Amino acid sequence: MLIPLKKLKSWWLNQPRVRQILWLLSMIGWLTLLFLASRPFGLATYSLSSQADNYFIHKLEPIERWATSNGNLIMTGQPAYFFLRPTRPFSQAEITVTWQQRDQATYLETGILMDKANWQYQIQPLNQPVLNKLDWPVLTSGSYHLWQKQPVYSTWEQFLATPPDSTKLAVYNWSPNLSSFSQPENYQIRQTWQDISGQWRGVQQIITYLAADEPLAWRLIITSDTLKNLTADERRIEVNITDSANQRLWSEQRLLENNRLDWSILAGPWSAGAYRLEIKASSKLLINLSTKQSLFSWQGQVWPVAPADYLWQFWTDATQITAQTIQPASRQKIIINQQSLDIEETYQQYQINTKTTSTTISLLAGDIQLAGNGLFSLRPTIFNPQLRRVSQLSDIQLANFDFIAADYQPPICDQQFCSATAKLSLIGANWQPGDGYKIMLAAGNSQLSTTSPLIIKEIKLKLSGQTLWQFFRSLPRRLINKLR
Amino acid sequence: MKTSYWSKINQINCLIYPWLTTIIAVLLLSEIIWSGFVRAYLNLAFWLIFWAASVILKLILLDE
Repeated sequence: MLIPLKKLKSWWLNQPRVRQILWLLSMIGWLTLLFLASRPFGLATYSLSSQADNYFIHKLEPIERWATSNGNLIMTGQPAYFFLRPTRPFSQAEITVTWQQRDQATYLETGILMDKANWQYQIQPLNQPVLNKLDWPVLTSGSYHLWQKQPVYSTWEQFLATPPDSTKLAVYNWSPNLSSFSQPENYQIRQTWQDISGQWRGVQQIITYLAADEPLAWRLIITSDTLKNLTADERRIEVNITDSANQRLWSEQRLLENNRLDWSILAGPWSAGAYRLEIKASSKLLINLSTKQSLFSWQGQVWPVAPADYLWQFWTDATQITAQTIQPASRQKIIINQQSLDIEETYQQYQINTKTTSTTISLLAGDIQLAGNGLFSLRPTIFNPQLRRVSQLSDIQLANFDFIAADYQPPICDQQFCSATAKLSLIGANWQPGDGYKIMLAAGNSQLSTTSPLIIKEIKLKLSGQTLWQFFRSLPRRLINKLR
Repeated sequence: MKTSYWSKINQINCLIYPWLTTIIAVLLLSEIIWSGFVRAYLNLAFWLIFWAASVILKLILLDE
């Protein structure tokens, strides 16, 4: 070891002064690169204010939704996407978007792709114009806000301790712990399996009730109806069970073998209450469902599939329903509360506002995706242990509620620009090799067009994660976990 | 006059060539090991052009 050091020293002394300076400069440069790439303090900030080349925030897409007349960030359609490519892993991203104020209301949300196979995003609001303008008395606790038509609560804690009647409370971007949910009347534990008719496509978010000693019991038969070979991601099925506080209690993944998977899910029992069974499966797969549970409903969407003559009937409490099909043979007129909704084109979303929380939907055969801001049920009595979630509030919706609780930070605006920040967790987010995390900017109902675009002044991402010291301290644990 | 001009360039090129070659090798190796390490902050193509110019000069001047 001493000899190379001696050799190195004599080599260094023999170098001309200019070369010594060059070596020193390059060493400083390399160490600077090492510092910038490793971010030893666990913090990094990247920003983008034009479409010019940027390594960290790049690949703005789809190109037809970004104006190309100049290099500025101008969204002419939505949703738009970009990729975030940090040089090391981080656990949280704080995204700040600064945009020019528009004449039309701008609803703005951001999200990060969590599951590529099912296109699931973790979404956070940036701007909710109705809440910004709501003139009800408001209670604030950090990022939590409670708007009250008539002042009842004086603190957020008081509101949490004695929440109002769930029919009078709407929640926005907030999942409270629903410990107050009581057992349904005359509930009987079922001992036999019941087959749920038809088949189901896509992600299933099933909300079900379990009594104190009742285990969760579901049987899945999963097949594929695509003629193409499935990718590894498309063959993977993930099942998660979470409680009402969104804590994951059970999780398992399996792969489809020879185009079929038979899976009996038996979990629990846990304490009595409402639980969520999430089945993440590619839309190229069809799921047959059987269960022992008596009370259940689908949250957010249903995508039923059945033979041509089968008549489906659903009940929902969603006030806004969107229908879409990707199968030409499934185009039809569906009946929503005696109103006809003509699904004329494939890949086109058709929307209807029902203005009621009890809606009947009839359709033939299926392969139609129904989505809405509520629960869908095969029975007229919709099992809904949840508080009413709202996305885009209208005056009609506001009239139904006395309280609106939200985890939402309104934007800060001056005469020309508004700036809003949202926090996104990067843990478990989908990383696309070479490109990084996929981030979405959505401006639904904001009527973006080339004549009324959204002009973005800056997108700033503040990332935080483990420091270098924390990383080295976690190394032995990681190694042990890997060896196991 | 011409000889002293070329000899000056040769002298400078001899000085920076090994340094530049080592720098390019280190940067490329770092980028291969840690994707984005260099690309995020430096334009590697620019450094490669710089190095190529040095190589060409070296070959021409050696011929001289």
